[in-house]
Amino acid sequence: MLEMIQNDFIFQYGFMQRAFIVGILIAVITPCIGVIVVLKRLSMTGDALSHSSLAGVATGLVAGVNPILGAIVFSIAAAFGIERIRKTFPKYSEVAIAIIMSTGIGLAGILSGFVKNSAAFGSFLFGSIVAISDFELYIVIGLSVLVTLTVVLLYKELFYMTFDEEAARLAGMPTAIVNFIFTLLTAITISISARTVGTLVISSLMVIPVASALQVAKSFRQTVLYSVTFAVTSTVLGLFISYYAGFKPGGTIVLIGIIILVSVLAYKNIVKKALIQRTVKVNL
Amino acid sequence: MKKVIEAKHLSFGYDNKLILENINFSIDKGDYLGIIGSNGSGKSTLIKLLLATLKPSGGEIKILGERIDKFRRWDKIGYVSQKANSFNTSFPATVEEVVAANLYSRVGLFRRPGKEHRKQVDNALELVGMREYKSRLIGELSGGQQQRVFIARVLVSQPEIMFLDEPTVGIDAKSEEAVYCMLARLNKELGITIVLISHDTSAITVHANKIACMGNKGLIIHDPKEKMTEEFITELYGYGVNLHAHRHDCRNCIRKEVV
Amino acid sequence: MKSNLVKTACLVLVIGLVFAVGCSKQTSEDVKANHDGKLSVHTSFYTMADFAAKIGGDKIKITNLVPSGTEPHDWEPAPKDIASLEKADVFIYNGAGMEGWVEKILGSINNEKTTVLEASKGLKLLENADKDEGLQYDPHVWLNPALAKKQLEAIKNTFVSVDSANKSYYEKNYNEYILKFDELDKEYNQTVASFSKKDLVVAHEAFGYLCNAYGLKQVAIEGLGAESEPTPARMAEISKFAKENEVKVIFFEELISPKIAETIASEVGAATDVLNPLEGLSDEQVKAGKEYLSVMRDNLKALERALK
Ligand SMILES: Nc1ncnc2c1ncn2[C@@H]1O[C@H](COP(=O)(O)OP(=O)(O)OP(=O)(O)O)[C@@H](O)[C@H]1O
Ligand SMILES: [Mg+2]
Ligand SMILES: [Zn+2]
Repeated sequence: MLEMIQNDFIFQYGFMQRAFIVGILIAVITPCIGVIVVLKRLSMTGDALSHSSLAGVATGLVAGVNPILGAIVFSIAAAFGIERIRKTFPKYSEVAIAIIMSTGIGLAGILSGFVKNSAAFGSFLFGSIVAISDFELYIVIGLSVLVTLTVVLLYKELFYMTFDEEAARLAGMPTAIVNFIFTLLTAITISISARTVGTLVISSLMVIPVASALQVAKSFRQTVLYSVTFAVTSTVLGLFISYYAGFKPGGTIVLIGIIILVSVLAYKNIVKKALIQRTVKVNL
Repeated sequence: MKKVIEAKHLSFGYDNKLILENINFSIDKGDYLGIIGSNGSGKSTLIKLLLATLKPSGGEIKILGERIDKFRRWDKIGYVSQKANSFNTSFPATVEEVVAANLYSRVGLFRRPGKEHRKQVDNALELVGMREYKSRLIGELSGGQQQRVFIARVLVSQPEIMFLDEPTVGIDAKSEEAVYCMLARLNKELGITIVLISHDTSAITVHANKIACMGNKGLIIHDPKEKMTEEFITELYGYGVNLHAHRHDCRNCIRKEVV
Repeated sequence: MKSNLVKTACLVLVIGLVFAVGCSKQTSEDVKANHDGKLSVHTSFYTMADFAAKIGGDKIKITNLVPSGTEPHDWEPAPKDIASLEKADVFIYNGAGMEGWVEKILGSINNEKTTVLEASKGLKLLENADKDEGLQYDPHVWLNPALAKKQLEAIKNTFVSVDSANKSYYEKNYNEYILKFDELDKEYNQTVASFSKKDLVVAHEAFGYLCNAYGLKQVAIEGLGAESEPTPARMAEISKFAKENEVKVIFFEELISPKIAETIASEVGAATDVLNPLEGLSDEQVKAGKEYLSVMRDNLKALERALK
């Protein structure tokens, strides 16, 4: 095994180095956004926005505008659409997601029929963590700095607004602005990362590590830290395993995330059982 | 006396159903106003209007001298909502995190709470007797304990006006008494204006210096403080109550002013 | 706020309607064209349409199902496509697993009226080495001019049997084109003889028949069925292969994303170039007069640049 790893050193390839850099960066920023999105009961945001950005790609191609720009614009519009609808159905956030997601899929379906060269379409949809260009690398680095700074600087605002938006406003927080910034950032992050590492990776990194973290975290702070830890672990492990075992990287990363979630659940169960048993013994 | 809240010709209805019609009142600095009225009489609705959660369909509201749509100093306002535990109970936040969040105006944008802020959080939790629970997840507390945390959350920001919508629901008798004492002290010692909705008429008669009765889409403030009669409460709530107080003539004023 | 929502909803609705009208117009045009006395020929993807046109000339009216510029491997027919197929006199598809959707449609149309031709039938097919892709054979036969000639022949025979009145017309066209195909074959043989290298790295495993015909060897990033995400192990393997064999050019196709090819090219310091498997041409290419023979010559030039 060791010999195999030495002979076939994973980091000798530039594309693997870039995969690790971009993968880790995305694994840090996505769950940060994901924690808030999940706690607002908008877990499917990743899917909804990436489908809407598909419609943006198609529009860009049909209208002769840069498709990436189209993707970002549509994703932003969709994100604000979700926010608006969410306010109309306060207790049914998932309604907002469903509406925007179907609009996105529908529009993308119709518009893609008007795209003359579907190759161009395909190449804007396709994202793979092992095929990252220098340009994408720089974009992801820039994006990561932006998201990390925002989450650190607006940490308590984001926390309070997620917990209780009304109370946050009454505490004097500029909720409208913070909400605007967060929504914008979510939309940009998803539309760019979906094109870079693929929709599957991005929408699962938003939710699965957060779900695992929620099982063990004892505070909001810990939820964020655990989510990032789990996401980075599944990305790094996923890349290693997919390289040495010959699996597709996207799926491997997602499955490692699921394995972590299942282990966390099992661990929690065992601890609980042990606790009950101990209590029973003491009482006897 | 400085008026901290003023409402003129205030009307409000959900969709087309009118709940409040042409209400006029003002609250002075340092007042302790108790609001009573039967279920559905619009007490919570009124408070939501004063917090700008709802927009009036007519009339105007001034808070701390400013029109409510221009008002920005919301940190001077504290609010404990009715059924505060209607929040997402599986939200992963500790008691300390929840209370500290309300220190926002003291900490400032982009900054993290420091040592003295943490002390203020401890003090606020101490006041409601929840200090030893500060590292617990908020969702893992009992309903009454949660309610106390939400009161501490309002206290920590040292507001000028506090709105409390049935804050002691689900709190045991001893702690309830403690909450009322604490509110009275905040009112007397720190001069915080308090607006308290409660069905606990006896507590209100003891503590409040003004009492507002709501019903028939209207509101009447009894000022100076008058004591309520059993008939009055019966009239207001529609059933009999035992009350140790003497006669006051409210029945007429409700009808007179509302119609 | 609410009125904004309403406005947006209206806008979306209007856009939708405009598209719907646009679409339905297109369909009615298709239908009209079926009634002018010409043989109505439906084809599955570009090369089949091109071959049919070469034989049928102005005696037929072609409707190509997979739109220009669309990768045919994972295309799915819309209800309107199936409906229009009902009115076809002849339906030509390549077969051998190229068009996975064909079986589904064939079951649902009236076969009595429509003559169906599987153009690869009877040709000696290459087995798919990588069975787990679900394809038993490599379908890309047309990339070998000798086999393409056989497909032309099958198409000619079908037209003759359905429309015997124009028999001599079809036969004249066929005889002209097989000469051109022979010429192409000759050019390939001559040029390939001068190559110093035999290995080409391609995006998907489409060039098996071409390679077999001229003694070349393809190393494909993806299997027979075009695009999906490659494994990093596969990418490493190809990078290693490319480095060891001093591959100068990594080929990609216009119909699938060049990202993977570019990544490997930058990994090994190679260039990228287009090698067209003729699964579809864009409208611009068709307008520029590109067809099977000229694209195959472009491919030959690209091979020459890479392997000489
Ligand atoms: N979101 C709403 N939509 C429509 N009507 C509402 C809504 N909320 C309250 N109402 C109606 O408005 C009226 C006043 O409600 P409100 O909550 O203000 O009563 P309340 O005085 O606080 O009662 P309680 O003592 O039960 O808390 C009620 O008749 C109620 O049915
Ligand atoms: Mg109420
Ligand atoms: Zn192919």
